[in-house]
Amino acid sequence: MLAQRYTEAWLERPEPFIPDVVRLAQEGDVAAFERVYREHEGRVYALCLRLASDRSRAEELMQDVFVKVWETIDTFRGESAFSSWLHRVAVNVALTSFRSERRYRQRVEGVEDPELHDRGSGLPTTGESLDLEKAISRLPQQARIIFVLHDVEGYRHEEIASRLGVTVGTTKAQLHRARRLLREVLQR
Amino acid sequence: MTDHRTHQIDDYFDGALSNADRTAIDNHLRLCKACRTEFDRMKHLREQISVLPRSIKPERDLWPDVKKRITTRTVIPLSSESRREPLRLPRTGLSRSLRTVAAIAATLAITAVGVWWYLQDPETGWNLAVREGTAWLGSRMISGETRISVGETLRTGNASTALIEVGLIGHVDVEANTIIRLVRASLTDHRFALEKGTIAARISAPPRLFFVETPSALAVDLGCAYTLSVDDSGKGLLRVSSGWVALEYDGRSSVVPAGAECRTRPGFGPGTPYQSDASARLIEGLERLDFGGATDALAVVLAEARNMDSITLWHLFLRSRGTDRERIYDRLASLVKPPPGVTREGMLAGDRKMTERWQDHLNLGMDSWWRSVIL
Repeated sequence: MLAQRYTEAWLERPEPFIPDVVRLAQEGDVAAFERVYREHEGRVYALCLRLASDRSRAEELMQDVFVKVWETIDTFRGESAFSSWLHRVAVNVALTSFRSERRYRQRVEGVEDPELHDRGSGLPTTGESLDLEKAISRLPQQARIIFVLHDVEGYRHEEIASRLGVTVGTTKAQLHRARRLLREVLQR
Repeated sequence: MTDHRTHQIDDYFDGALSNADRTAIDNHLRLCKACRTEFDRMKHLREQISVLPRSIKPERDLWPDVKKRITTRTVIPLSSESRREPLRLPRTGLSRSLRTVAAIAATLAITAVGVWWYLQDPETGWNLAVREGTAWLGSRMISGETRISVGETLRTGNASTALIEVGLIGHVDVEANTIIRLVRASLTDHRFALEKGTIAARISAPPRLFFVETPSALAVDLGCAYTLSVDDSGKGLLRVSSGWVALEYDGRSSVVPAGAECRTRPGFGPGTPYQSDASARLIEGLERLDFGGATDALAVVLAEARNMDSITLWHLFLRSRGTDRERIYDRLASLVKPPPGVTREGMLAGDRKMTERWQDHLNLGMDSWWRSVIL
């Protein structure tokens, strides 16, 4: 019975847990929030850097992420690991930013679909060899975001499509494209 | 060999192929050198991905900037090398008057673009698609895809339905004969007012980012999927299919888990949640108890309750006093044995630690927010 399955799942769910340092940050303790920042900065920066492919932009995103975490940390209820919650906030902030930029390009620069004007990539067409990090940074933006979220961060197509406001078909096609470009570069 | 299977290699590695297709690919790879090469490249790529560092330290310490922003709530400029240069118009041979006209035109254009951009921003409105028939946005008849702005009201007709993107956190299906207004669209407060009709919300976000106001309660999303209906008289019915939803009204709250439902009434707020498969007599008893003040209904509810109805009994227990509280305690204790250290006397006296311990034992969560809502 469906309701019984829900009940069982509900009964088996882990007890909510809020680490002490997070609880202190929720109460407005800036020193505690710095400890949260120090613990997670590397993980968040790696995500921002790979999504943005630009150090300055990644630093900007990194600031935005932790400001958003500070503003919403009291909504963390311990139903998931804090690192998972924070990671989702980071992805949301980054994608919101990219989406605003994309809309800006569509509206202000008159580009109907920036991806159509982004067919090429920064990947070398000659025999130049790149390591994977560099190769990822030179992928076209949408392909790069989808590749990072799916292959590096482990998000599912449905979730990525929902967050980007595109179809699952688009995310699969862009992932295929990213992998193909990366394979070509890495095999040189 | 011309029948290459390279297009299936991604699916092969993603585990998206059936066993038969996987076997077919395995067999094909033994015979096709081109596909095997592509397969090996993909394998190499995945190996490279698996050793990517999970953490990268920023080249400069960003904490001082973050700290300044959270303590002063101002935007801190980036490092000097990344600071964007101000826009400078090139000097031309245009006369001063022409330059003045050009500057005014540019200002107007920038203002127009700014207004347009503002109107498209996800914090001022969201995408809306009418999926069947026609609907009304304010006084405007609409079909196909458009946007709903903050303050606008969507009305679906007898044969029309719509889908609204909730910023970047989910979507809401709007059923026929529904009136819903977009109240707020900020990143931390996604809020509708459902006047009447039915919506189905699916939200993937931390708790308390998505809200639906109704005439009889505020539905607060705690990360979930649910259906919410409001009839012409303002009565509401919430059905949760995953996660949790809280219903709040004038200091009274109910927490509704997946598989459960809760009714709401104008002027009263949320009733007591119950499992969707609870008996009709229990549901009818709750209706009379919650909204009719029929004290005899408590006996029916207690008699009909099963051990999986602890969510119902727990809400009733925390809201009751006197002999009703004793009767509810006894019934709950007979269905779910209290954990060691929890006594009848302590629970009836409202001992907070015992209450938390039993709530924990019932797996209703020790979340401070949950407790603060109910206790």
